[in-house]
Parts: sequence; structure tokens; C-alpha cells
Amino acid sequence: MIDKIHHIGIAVHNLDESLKFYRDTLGLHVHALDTVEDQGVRAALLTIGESEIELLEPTSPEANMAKFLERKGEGLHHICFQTADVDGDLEELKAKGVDMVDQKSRKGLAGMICFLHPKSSRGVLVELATPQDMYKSPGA
Amino acid sequence: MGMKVQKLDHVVIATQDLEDALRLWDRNVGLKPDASLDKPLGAGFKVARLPIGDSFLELVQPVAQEGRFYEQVQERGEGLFSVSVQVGDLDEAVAFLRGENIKVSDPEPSIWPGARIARVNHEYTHGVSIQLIERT
Repeated sequence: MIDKIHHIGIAVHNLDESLKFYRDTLGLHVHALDTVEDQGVRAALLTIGESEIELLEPTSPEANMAKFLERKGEGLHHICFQTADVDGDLEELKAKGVDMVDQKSRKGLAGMICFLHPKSSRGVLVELATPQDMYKSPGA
Repeated sequence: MGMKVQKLDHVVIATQDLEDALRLWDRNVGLKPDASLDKPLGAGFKVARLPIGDSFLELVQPVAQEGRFYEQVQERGEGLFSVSVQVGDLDEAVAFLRGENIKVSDPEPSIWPGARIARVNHEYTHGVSIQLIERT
């Protein structure tokens, strides 16, 4: 069961340029800035109410984010919902036959995460996340 | 510096089949439409609101074969469409953005009661359709 919108992911060509609008103009507070090498992104997380805006810049031309930008240009990329039990939700979705990008949860910026395939939600890329401080690994 | 954004008011998702989209959002993440909400009057689309936390998803299906929303959905396809961010004072927010040389539409009443909105030109937002909303 999901609790809230954890974040909205936005694909950008240049993170520092995009911060000029989202941080400096909209006045949103940046609470994390990090590079996730295995996902090929450099990301900033900005607080907005009880949710976040996640700005994502590809770190190489081969990164998935670079391919997305080439195909669709800058803009909304995905929506992430917070859940207390990402592994339980993932198993339930698989049991219902929902098409998943990830068959197992993995470590992401938002904690332990998984992605549903966009065709499972009529074109919306959906991520589920359990923040690290809430996460209990299965069988632990 | 900057504006005072209070929260993420809602996220708009465009769909070609509202009934099917409602079924999928319920199946995937357990979100259900808020039946207590009035429908907007005279709009060329079907709409449902799915509350989540302090925000909501708004699923929108164009029904009229014309109008800005219909044309944008034809062009961009189904999926995440726009985000609405809540501000305390819309006129002040619009004046601030214009002072920063950012194009913003004039404030106008929302099709929903109790709100006024203005749209930020997407060339300033890195491709995201952002709507400022003031709730009265």
C-alpha cells in the first residue's frame, strides 16, 4: 500500500541549468545531490511539500536517461510512490501478472525501489520506493 | 530568494481510456477516485481525481475532438502530462516570475471551483508543463 507521492522524476540535459529554475526561481530546497553510476544519472532531489522533485541528468550518452532525452526531449519522466513494503508490493504485482521492469527490488536514490513497465499504466513509468530507514529486507 | 511554493498540488495524467486507466491505477497501487468531487462543467474531457497523501492524481481523457488538451494528447500520447504546484498568492507569484523574465499566462479561474491558475511557459521549465494554483 502506498502512502504518498515520493517524487516526480524530470529528465534534463544539464542538471546545473535546471537548478537555476527549480532551486533558484521556484525556491525549492535541494536536500540531496548525487551521482548513481550504475543507473547512469546525476540527480538532485528538491523538497516540495511532503514530496520531492527529482532532476535527472545522464552521465553518459549510453545511459537510459540519455536515450529517453534523445527520443522525447526534456520533461516528465516518472512518478514514484512511497510504500512501507516494496518487496511485498512487488510480489503482489507479479502475482497479478503486472508487467515489471524490475523482478527484484534494488537500491536507488529513494531507497529500495522497483519500476513497473510503462505499458502497465497506460504510458506512465511508475516507481515504488521504500526509503532506506523504513526498509526491512525479506526474511530479516 | 525565489518563490514560495507550498506543495505539489496534483499531477495530471493524460489517457485515451479513463475507465481502463482507473482499473490499472487501482490494480497497480490501490488508488481510487474520489467520488465526492463535482465534475467540471462544460469541459471537453472526462476526468477523475485519485487522492494520495497531501496531493492527488488527475486522470484526464479528451472527449471532444478539438481544443488544446485534445491536440496536446494527440501530439504527446498518453502518460504524465503536467504538474500543479500550489502557491499562497498567485498574483504575487506571477509578478515574481515575470520579473525574472519568465513567460507566465495571466491568472484565470480554474474549471474547478475554489482555485485560480496560471501556466508557466514550458521553455523555462525544462520541458515540464507547470501550472501554478492558488486555492481560495
